[in-house]
Amino acid sequence: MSSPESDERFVALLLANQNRIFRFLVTLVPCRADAEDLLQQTCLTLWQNREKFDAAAGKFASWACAIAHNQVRNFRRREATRNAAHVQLSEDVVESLMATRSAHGSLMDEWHRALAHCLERLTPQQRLVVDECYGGASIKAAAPDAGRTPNALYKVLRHVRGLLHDCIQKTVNEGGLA
Amino acid sequence: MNPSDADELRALAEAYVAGELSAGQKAELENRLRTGEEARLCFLAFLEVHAGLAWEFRGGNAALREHPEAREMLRRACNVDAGLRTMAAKDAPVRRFWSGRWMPLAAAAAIVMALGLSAFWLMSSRDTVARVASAESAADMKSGDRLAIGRRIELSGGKVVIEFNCGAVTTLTGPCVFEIESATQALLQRGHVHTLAARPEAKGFTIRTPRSRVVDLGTEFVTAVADDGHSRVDVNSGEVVVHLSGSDASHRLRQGEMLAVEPGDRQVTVRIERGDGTPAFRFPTIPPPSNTDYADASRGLARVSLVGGPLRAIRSNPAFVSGGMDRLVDGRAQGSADAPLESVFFEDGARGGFLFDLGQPIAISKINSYSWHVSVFRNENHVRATQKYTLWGFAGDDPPDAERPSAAKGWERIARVNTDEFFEVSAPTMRPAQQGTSVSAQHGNLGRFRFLLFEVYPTRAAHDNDLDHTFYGEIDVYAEP
Repeated sequence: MSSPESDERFVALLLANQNRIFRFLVTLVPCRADAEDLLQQTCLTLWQNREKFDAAAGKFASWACAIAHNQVRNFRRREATRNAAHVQLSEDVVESLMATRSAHGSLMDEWHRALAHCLERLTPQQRLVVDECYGGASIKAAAPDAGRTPNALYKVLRHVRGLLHDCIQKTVNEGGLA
Repeated sequence: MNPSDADELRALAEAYVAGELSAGQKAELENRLRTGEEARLCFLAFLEVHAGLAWEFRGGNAALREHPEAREMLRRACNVDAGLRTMAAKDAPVRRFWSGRWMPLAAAAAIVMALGLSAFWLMSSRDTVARVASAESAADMKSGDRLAIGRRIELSGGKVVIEFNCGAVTTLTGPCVFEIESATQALLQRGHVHTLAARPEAKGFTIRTPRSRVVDLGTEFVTAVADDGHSRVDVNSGEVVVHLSGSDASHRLRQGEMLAVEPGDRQVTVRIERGDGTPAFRFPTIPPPSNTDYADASRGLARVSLVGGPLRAIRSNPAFVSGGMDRLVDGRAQGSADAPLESVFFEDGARGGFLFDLGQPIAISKINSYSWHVSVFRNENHVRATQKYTLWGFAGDDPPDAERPSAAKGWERIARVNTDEFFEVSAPTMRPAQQGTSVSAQHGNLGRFRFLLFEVYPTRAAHDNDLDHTFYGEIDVYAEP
């Protein structure tokens, strides 16, 4: 039986772990809109099953990501029957990726913290490109606003992502932000 | 991993993120990812950049910006969250979300905490909660379109199938006006919607109409709203609960049952149920035919007469002749599935009605009608079990034209009954052979009337030119105590 206090604790855990769940989902389902839909479904399922979470038994993030993984499996099945245009990775590859991710969860969190630090090192123009591409619906939609073709914008974005990746690796390798 | 391998993996990761992985690239990527932990970590590192950016740059939340009280509640929820405070202290991105940018679920969850709601996906008008699975003859919609909370769909014709993220699938048939109110609720203002909510996650999915809320309990149901506000719910499988506006009572409907609501303050409902197919006439909630109702012949208070007609009377075949009008008020319905003499029914193609004179105006609480028919010639033929009538009332002593009743002539329309439509019958075999209908009001009584007129319509199968009439076994009129 859930109580207001336990619900409060549960929401607090959910708040603190949403970015982990979302990043986990985006790893498996790179399309942001799909990942957002899956995040909603996952949070709904987590909430409906909140009484099953045993705070003493394990980490919230692991439990939540396991439920998110189930949502992804269902999503992949639906997409497969829908003959979705984009290519999905094979199940065994996805499973091994998840195992790697699970084994290095704290490293992923460290990368994420480093990302914030690296974003601050971007030039205003580079920052604007990221904002345009990730803050809106899609690159296609962002391109006219940025005065570029989608291809040109995508090229810049790829470059910026590369810069961020390199900065994150460097930051973490040098001992992180702590 | 050498730099050139890392570059190649990065290029593949970019194609994966963009959704542009070719079959060849997919094979190449999978081959590399299967080779070892280092390649997988490298790939995940690229993905983490994309995932982190996607998280950090999610869109703004209009609901939060526009409602200071929501923001305040959000802050309060944050203050009790030690975990989040700790994160916010050392994690700039998290701080940033609270100060301006948005996390819809965090917001919704916090607000739900504050409001005590049971679901926290109700917030955020900008979230997509459904997508179009197929659209047929719908000008501004196409398969794959994402639908957000607040999206209003107006169809003049055609058919649109919408899949909600929660698992419910709704099929809209035009003309139809439909609005998505939350991740688990939609408003049907007009038209016809079929809902399949079979997945466990879809339990609780709700279709609201202007006068009711239909809450799914794991089922398949049809909701329809006519132009004048007349609405109905049919349950094809499973169960639903119907809550009527302004009423605390809820109506649980199971497979094969129906509830219709007439417009008007009384909220007249028509409930239709499938019988057990025995002379006992047992129904889930509607009582069996009664000899204690106000109009029962044994009480001598009411008189029933024929309007129009005639009733079926084939001299050459006395076995297929309608019983007399007194059969409607004799306290029992038919004793078998094909009992013409125990039924009251019109000549094929005829038009008519049953006029009840209650002797004086009385407040009526409930009216039940019963029918039963399975043809001895063709077992699948249940066409004469279908009840189709409009129920009219008149309070004065001199009833208006009963052959062509209308509101203009002074009749008050109480309810419309069409069990064929309600049972979604598309073939004669699908008709329940025994049907019970109960007309009652959610607020007060059905009205004070001296005369009740059942304007009876023929029942005809879609593929059949014959105009057949229902075998009515009993009509019970209950006065308010």
